[in-house]
Amino acid sequence: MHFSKTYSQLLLTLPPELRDSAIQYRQLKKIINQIVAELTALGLSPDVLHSVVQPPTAANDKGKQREDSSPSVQSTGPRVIYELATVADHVEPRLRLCLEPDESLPSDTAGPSSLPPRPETTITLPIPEDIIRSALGSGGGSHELPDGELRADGTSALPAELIIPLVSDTAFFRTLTEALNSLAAYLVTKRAEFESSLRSLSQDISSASRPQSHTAGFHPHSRYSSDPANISISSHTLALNSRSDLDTWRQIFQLYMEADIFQGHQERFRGEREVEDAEARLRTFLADLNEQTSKGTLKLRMKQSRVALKSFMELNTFILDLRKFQQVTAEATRKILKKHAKRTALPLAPDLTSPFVVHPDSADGAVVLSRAHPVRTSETFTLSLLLVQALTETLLPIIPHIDDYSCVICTGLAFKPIRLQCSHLFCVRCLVKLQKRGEEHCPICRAPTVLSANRSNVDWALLNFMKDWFPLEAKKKLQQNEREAAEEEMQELGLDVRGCVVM
Amino acid sequence: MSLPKETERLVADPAPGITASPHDDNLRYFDVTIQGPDGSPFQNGVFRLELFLPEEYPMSPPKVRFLTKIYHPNIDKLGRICLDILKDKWSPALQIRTVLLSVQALLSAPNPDDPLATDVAKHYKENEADAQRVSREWTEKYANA
Repeated sequence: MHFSKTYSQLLLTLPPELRDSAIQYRQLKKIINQIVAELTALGLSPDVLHSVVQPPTAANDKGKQREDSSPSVQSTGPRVIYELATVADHVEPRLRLCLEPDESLPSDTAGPSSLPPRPETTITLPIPEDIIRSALGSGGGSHELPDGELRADGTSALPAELIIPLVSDTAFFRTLTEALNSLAAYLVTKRAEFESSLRSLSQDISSASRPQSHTAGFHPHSRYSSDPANISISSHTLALNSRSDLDTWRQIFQLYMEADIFQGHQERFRGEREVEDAEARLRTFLADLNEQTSKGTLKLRMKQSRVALKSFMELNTFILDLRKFQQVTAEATRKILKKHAKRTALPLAPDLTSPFVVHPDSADGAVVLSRAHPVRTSETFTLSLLLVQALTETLLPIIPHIDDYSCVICTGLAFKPIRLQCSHLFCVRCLVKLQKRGEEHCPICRAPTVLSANRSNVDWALLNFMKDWFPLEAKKKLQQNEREAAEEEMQELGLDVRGCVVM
Repeated sequence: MSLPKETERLVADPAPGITASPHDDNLRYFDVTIQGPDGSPFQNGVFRLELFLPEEYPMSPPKVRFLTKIYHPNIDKLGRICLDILKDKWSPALQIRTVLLSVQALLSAPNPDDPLATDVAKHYKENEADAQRVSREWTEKYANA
């Protein structure tokens, strides 16, 4: 119930700089009280307003009433319309009073002797006449005069329409819009900061995760003329480069992707996660990292890497804080507008565009007071989601992922890589197995390319790339291939290596 | 060697309407359930299957069989399935996941021209509406989760 308390408590959990740019909920609440006071002074206490106010119309569709408004209210008695006029760059809420029935309406429904169909239509506006007069008197100056004309038959007569600007209400909307606008400006600078730390982080990780080609023993150009079936990859060229954290960063990113922190990528759940869920997942990821580090299975050798990991965690925490802040700001905006409507009995103002929603075509992110455009949602992104995307798109590709270089048959690294004529890739081991079974068709596209493959199908460029970026995986796969081939050979000779063979 | 990795993904990220879990004592043997696809006579049914990976997998196809009785022209009384990718059209690039998705698709698109259960296929060809009614009845009777 006491949102303002929950709100300030939630803000306390966020970094001070975010907190400082939050919407001033309490202040806005006070302004609402002032609006009520102002309206009451006009004789338009919430009770009165409830019965006479028409739904809000945009100031430029003057004269066009909403079709769904009750015709009985339109037909007789005074009508009050709450409108939000856009004057220069700010919103000016005002009340439009229509003291005469619409001329367009059939006269029989407006017969003065007939019983009004609804009690509220009989209410006479208790606005003190001096206020109306003063509104009229100043009307020629600062206030826009309606199209309604003065009656020709008397000087004291009232016009058919009159407009009362609402001063406190203008202050309310100005405060709220200014808060959201300064928030938007703040977010723009934060976004730029985020992107620049991301760029330098990306450079740090790149230089800490050097591939093998940075070592002296690496020979990118294999000897073409030699027999590819016997390419010897001596273990020292595949030994880990001690001055690179390539494998550790690969592990970290693997854990990060499995944690699936901000967005789900599974069949069961896709899309942006709830804040609580994301927070729990970020905690789990951190716990996993710590556990693996203390077990010694995850070791960052370089100081540069340790600094980078810290910065990586900070960027993630920032995204999470932003998500929380986004949620609480949206809630505060929604609540204050609802409270505004409830306390003043002025109809609910249209939604404010959230400063967290980023339109791809507008970079400044200025807040516009406008009706919500539900159609636009497909092309808008929340800022936090954009940052998550920037993070993953910038950092993850630094280190090639094994899934992009694996053999679809054995799911291991496709080492040594054989490229069939149909351009599909398999590891040499699986290809040999296919050939031994007399399988003619490519497992992926069924083109008859398997049996014709030979030594010329080794993808040398890819082989070198794999030696460069997957030294551990390549070594492991090579050993595994050799073991498997040896077993197979024994079996072909009639010896079952799996059982105990007594010669 | 490829077995644990594939199983891991299968369990962690199952396809909609499909579950597959390996036996603790035999990682090559899976308990499978497939939900009858919406809009088919098997809708709302949950069908149990068994799946076994032979030694040569993925060079040879997995062996799959329905355990739940089903009235379908391409599935016989013993639960054997007539599906080309489980036989001559098998490719080692296919996986357990893709196999089970194909079986699920077969429930949506029975093919009486390539029958395994000839009597069911005849029924489907001669009076499809009535055959579907029987399929629905069997689903309700045997595949009620």
